[in-house]
Amino acid sequence: MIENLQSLLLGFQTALTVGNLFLCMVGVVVGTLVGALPGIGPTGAVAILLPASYSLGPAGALILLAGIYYGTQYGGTITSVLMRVPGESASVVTTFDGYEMAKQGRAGVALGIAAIGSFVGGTLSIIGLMFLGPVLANYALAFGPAEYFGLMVLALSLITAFTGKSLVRGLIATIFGLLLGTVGDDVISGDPRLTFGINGLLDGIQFLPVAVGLFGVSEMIESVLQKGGFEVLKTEFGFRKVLPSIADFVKSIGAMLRGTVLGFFVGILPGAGATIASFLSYGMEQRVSKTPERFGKGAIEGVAGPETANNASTGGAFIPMLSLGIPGSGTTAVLLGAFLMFGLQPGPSLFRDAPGVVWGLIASMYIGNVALLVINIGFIPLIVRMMDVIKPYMRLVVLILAIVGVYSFRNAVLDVVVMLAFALIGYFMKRYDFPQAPVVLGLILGDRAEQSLRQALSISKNDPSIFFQSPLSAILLIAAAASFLLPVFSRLWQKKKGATSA
Amino acid sequence: MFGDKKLGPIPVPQFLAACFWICLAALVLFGLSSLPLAEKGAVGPRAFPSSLAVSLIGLSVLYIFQSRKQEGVVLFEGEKRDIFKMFLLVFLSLAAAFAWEKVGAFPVLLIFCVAELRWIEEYSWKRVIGLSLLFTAVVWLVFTKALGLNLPLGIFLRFLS
Repeated sequence: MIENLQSLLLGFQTALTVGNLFLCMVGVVVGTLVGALPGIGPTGAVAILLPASYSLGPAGALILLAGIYYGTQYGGTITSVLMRVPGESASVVTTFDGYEMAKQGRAGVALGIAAIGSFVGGTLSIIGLMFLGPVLANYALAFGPAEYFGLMVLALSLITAFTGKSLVRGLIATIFGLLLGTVGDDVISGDPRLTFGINGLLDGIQFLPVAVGLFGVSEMIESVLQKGGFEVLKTEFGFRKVLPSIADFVKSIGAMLRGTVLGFFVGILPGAGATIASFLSYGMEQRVSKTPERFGKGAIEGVAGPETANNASTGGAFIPMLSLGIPGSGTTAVLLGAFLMFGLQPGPSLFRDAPGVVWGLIASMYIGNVALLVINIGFIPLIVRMMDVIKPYMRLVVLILAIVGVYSFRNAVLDVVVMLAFALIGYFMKRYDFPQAPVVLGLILGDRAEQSLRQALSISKNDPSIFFQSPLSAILLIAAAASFLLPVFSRLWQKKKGATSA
Repeated sequence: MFGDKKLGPIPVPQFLAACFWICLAALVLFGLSSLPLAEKGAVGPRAFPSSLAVSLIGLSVLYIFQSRKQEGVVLFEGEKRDIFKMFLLVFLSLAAAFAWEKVGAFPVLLIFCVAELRWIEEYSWKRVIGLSLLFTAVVWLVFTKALGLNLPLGIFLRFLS
């Protein structure tokens, strides 16, 4: 412990030089701006700047790139709350209650609590990274295909069971999402599936056009039919009015702490990442809430929990990358490339071989999180005022942002067409009261869930009992089943109780 | 639209929705027909999506069953003029997507802004022209200049490349 603190002090000496401090600030500001634009996710932003950062040396380059990484996690919140357009997959959940809060004139509060939650999650996860990193990395490696499958089923079941009014409609939406995830080359054999001869579909249906279409553009289409259009987005001014009150903070603190623990541990698992963490956190908050019916209608815990979880997952994601040299996400894979670019081999010996770089990076994360909190809280009144200015042109702004952002993602017109198709599907799903969130999560997890399922069955020679042989996988699957069955049993029990008392 | 129509006890909109899901599942099963269910003793590429498609059919039947005696879903709520505007917005967006690479991102954006602001938002021509130029310029500045993304120049602006 003392040794780690001494190393951290060494890290602060590296990170607090004027040059590195400047790079950290540039990274977090660029990350926040990029995170707010759909299309250029954290992986793309880090990859674009990777060659340019070579001249900065290992410490400077990694501080800049890591700043962009956690800056994007903050930035994704802005358009999710104000326009219902998620900047990246981990921000999808924020649209559920964040946009509703914006409609109620609480956009600033939603952004503020998201910034505070992100700070709490980000900072605590760095502490976790420092002290638990090497120990936890070994446990993450013990996660086999059966355990991964269990984790994905749990994430899907939580979101299916809690985001809709009807289990049947929720399941239909989930299966639709999972089916979308199976489009493209088969994950194991490489055979093209459900592409119907369209070459652009060989890489599968991308998450971004689907999410932007389902959530953002469908809202714009629907708004044409609403009287008063975007006047539904109420704006309040004044620093006190737009910032979260003590009561808001007290209401959110439990969600933040739960989100931190959940996000950190999910972030450690290779491939799981911020998206699953945020969805799981939303499901968990709804489950523990005494008033779950408030969720989806502007519940502040629905913003605080997922936002904390997705930032906590970034600290967790660094653990397998730094300790074992295994990237946990696309962005950490690019960061791994940055280490290799400077001749540094991430793994157990990295902390010994390049302490200045590693601890400088960790120290810069603390500084970056403080900077992000100050920048985000400080700019909330400006952001809210900006929203008031663009409100009359909101439909056009969102459509332009969506079309340009989605096209820039892969330079493919097909993605824009897919986005518009999903905008129409999203409109009708809303009219029919089908939940949209399970579609997106199903799409994200579809191929990974299938891959884990098939790998597990291949290991066990097609014996499905493999999913119950490992205690962890069994617990995850039982929890998934319970999330479906408990609400049904509780409804039946209450009906029976009502009948007896009558 | 269709909201009050019923097929026996089942409202027409819900019936149509169930048909959509069933057709989608059928399309999936048809699209997978050439792939193997099992390969070298292991689960094949057809198994997972096929089982999902069969489940989707089952759930759609359950959905029809559940929608008995329910009120029909109102698909379009609003005046005819607003419904027309909604379809116009979808059409404009689709037209913009298809013309994007051929005509070029910036001319398409300019025309899209003009059409949206004039026919959907119903602003005056003066405001429409000013705002359209402003939005197009901001997109060029942010995406092309600041972020360095290559948006297609198209036939009109190709000489700039």
